[in-house]
Amino acid sequence: MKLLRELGIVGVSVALGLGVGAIITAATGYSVPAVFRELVRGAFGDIYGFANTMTQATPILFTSLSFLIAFRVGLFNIGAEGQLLLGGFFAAWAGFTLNLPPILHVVVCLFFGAAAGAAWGFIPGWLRARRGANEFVTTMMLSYVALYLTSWLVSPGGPYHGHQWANQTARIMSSAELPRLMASGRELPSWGLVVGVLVAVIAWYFLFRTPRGYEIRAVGQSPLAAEYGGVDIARAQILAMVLAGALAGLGGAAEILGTHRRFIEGFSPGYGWDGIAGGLIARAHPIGAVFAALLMGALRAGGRAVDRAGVAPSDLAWVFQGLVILFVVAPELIRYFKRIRLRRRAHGRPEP
Amino acid sequence: MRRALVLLVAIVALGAWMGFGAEHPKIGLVLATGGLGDRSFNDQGFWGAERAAEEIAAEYGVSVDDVLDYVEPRSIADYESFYREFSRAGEYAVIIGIGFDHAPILEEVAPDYPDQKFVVIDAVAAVDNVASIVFRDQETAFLCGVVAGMLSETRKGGVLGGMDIPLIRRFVDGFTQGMKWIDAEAEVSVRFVGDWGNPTLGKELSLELYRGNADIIYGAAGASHLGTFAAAEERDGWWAIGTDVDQAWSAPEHADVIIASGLKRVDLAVYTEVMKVIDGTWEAGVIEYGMATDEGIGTGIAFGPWDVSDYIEASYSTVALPNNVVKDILAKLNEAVEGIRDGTIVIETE
Repeated sequence: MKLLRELGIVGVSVALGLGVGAIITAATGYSVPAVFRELVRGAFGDIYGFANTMTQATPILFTSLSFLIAFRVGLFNIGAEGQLLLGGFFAAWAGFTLNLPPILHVVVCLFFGAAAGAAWGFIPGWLRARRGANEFVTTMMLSYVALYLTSWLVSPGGPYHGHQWANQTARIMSSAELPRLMASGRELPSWGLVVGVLVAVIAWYFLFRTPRGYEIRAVGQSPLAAEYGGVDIARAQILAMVLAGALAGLGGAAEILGTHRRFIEGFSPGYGWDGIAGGLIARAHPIGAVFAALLMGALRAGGRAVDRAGVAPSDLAWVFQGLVILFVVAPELIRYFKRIRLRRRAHGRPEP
Repeated sequence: MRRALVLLVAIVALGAWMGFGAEHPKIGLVLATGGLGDRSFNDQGFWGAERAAEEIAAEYGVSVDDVLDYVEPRSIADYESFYREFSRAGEYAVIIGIGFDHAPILEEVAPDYPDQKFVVIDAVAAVDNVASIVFRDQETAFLCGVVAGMLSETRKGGVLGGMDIPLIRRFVDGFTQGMKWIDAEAEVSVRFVGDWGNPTLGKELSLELYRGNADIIYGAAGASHLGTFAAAEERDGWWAIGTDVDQAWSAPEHADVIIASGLKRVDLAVYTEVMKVIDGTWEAGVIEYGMATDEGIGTGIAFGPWDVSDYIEASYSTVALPNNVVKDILAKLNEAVEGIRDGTIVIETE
C-alpha cells in the first residue's frame, strides 16, 4: 500500500511536470501534440525507443545507487559526476593498456573503474567523518577536479590523447568490451544494464540484510541512537562514501566499456546529477532506483527524439526533463532538508 | 489509469502511422559539438545542406523541414546514437557528418548499415559506404601567401600553427610557396601553439613573430589564432589572415586587422555531395575538393570588396587599402587560381 501511494505521488508529479511543460511549449509557439508524440515515441514507441531509454538509464542507475547509499548514512553525495568520469577513465586505461583474456579483462576494467571512484568517494568521506568538512562542498569540488583532470589527460597536451584532434583516448581492446544486448551485439544497451540491475540487487541485500548495511541505515536515521548502540559513526560514514564512489565509478566504467569503447572528454551529459534526482525519486531504495533510472532515461531518450524530429528545439526537451525532475523531487528534497537541519542542530554541526 | 493507458497506445499508434508515406529523399545531418551559430563549420555545413534541401523540396512540393533533419550533439559521446537513429530509420538518402571527429565513430557504425550512404567532412573514414571529403588546404594557403607576398613591407610572413602535424604542414607549405611566388626573397617563420584552444599562448607566439619582423601572420590554429588577431591590434602595420571562413565576419571585432581569410567551402562540398546522391552519381571513397581536383571547387580566399569567382569572395574586412592595390592583388590571385587549375602552378607538400 505504501508502495502504491508512493507510485501515485510520483505519477501525479510527472503529470504536473509534463503539464507545465505543455503550457511552456504552447506559449513558445510549438506544437504540443507533436512534442508529446516524439517524447513518447522516442522513449517507448518501438523496441529501439525503449532501447534508447534503457541505454540512457544505465549510467543513471549507477549514479542513483551511488547517491542513495550515501543518503542512507545521512550524507549528500553530489560528486557522482566526477566519480563517474574518473571511473570511466581508469576503466578505459585498463582497457587499452592491459592485455588480458576476454571476460577477465572486462572484470578487471570494471574493478579499476570502481576503485578509482571509491578513492574519489573516500576523500570526502574521510574529511566529513574525521574533520567535519561539509560533504556538499568537498564532493562537488572534487567533481570539478575529476572533470578537469580527465579533460587534461586526453587533451592534445595530455598523455592519453589518442586521436589526432578529438579529445579522447585510444580505443579499448575488444577483449575489454561489454557486449551489447540487441541486434546481434550491435545496438545498445550494453550488458552494463544487466550489471547495473545486479548491483542494485546486491546494494539492496547489503543495505537491508547485512550488519554493515544496518549500521549505515542506523546512522542515517539517528546518529545519536546508533552511537549509543555501539555503531562507529565515522566508519559507517566513510564506508558509505567509499561505496557511493565505487558505484558511480563502476557506472562510468560500464558506460565506457559498453557504449563508447574509449574515454571521451566529458562523455557524461550530467548522469551524475541525474543520479541525485534518481536516488530521491527512488526514495533511496535500491530496487526503486531501477525504475527511477528508467523514468530519467525515458525523459532523456524522449528529449533526443524531440530534437531529432525537429518538432521543437532540444532546449525545450531539456525544459521538460527539468520540470518533471523538479516536481518529482521537490517534496522529498524539502523533507530531507528539514530533517537534516534539525539533526545537525542537535549535533551542533555546521549546517549545509 | 486505464484511460491514460489507452491514450498512450493511441498516441503511439498515431506516431507510427505518421511515420509512413514519405517518398521524397531526405537528408540527415549530424553537426559537430559546437552546434549551429558557430559562424564556422557547423553553419557552413548547415547552409550547404539547406540549399540542397530547398532544391529537393521545390521539386517534390514539400517543405524544407520535411527534407532536412539535423541534430546538434552536445558531446562526441552523442554521435554514435544519432548515427544509429538516422541509419535505422532507413528513410535518409544520405547522412552527413560535419567535422573530423566523426570519423572514428563512422568507422564503427557505417559497416552495420551497408546500404546507407554516409558523407563525412574533413576526415577520412575507411568504410565502403562513406564518402570522405578532404580539402586541398595547400591551395587555399597558397592564395593567402599571394596576399601576404603582395602586402608585406618587411618581406617576411608568419604562420601560427595549431600543432606540428601533416595537416598544418600543408598550410605552411602552401603559404610559403604562395609568398615566394610573388617575392622569391620573402621569408616565412612558423610557430606551433600545441593546442587548438589557447588564444593566450597564441597571442604570445604571434607577438614573437611580429617582433621578429613579420608583418603579416596566417593563423592556422583553430581558436588559438584568435590571439593572432589580438596581437595584430597592438601596432599599426601588423596584419593577420584568418582560416576556414571569412573571419572578418566571424570575429568582427578584429575586422580592422584581418586582411583576408583562406576558405574551406564546407557548404559547397555538402551541397555537391547531396546533389550527387540525388543524381545517382554519388560514390564512396576519399573525395578531394579544391581547384585542381575533379570537383573543381572547395578552396578559395575571402579578400577585397567584390565576389570575383568561385574562389575569390568578398570579405567583411575593414582594412582600408587603396583601390589600385586591391585590384593588383585580385589580378595576382586570379592568375594564381588559373595557374593552380591548369597545373602550371604545382604546390609541393611533404
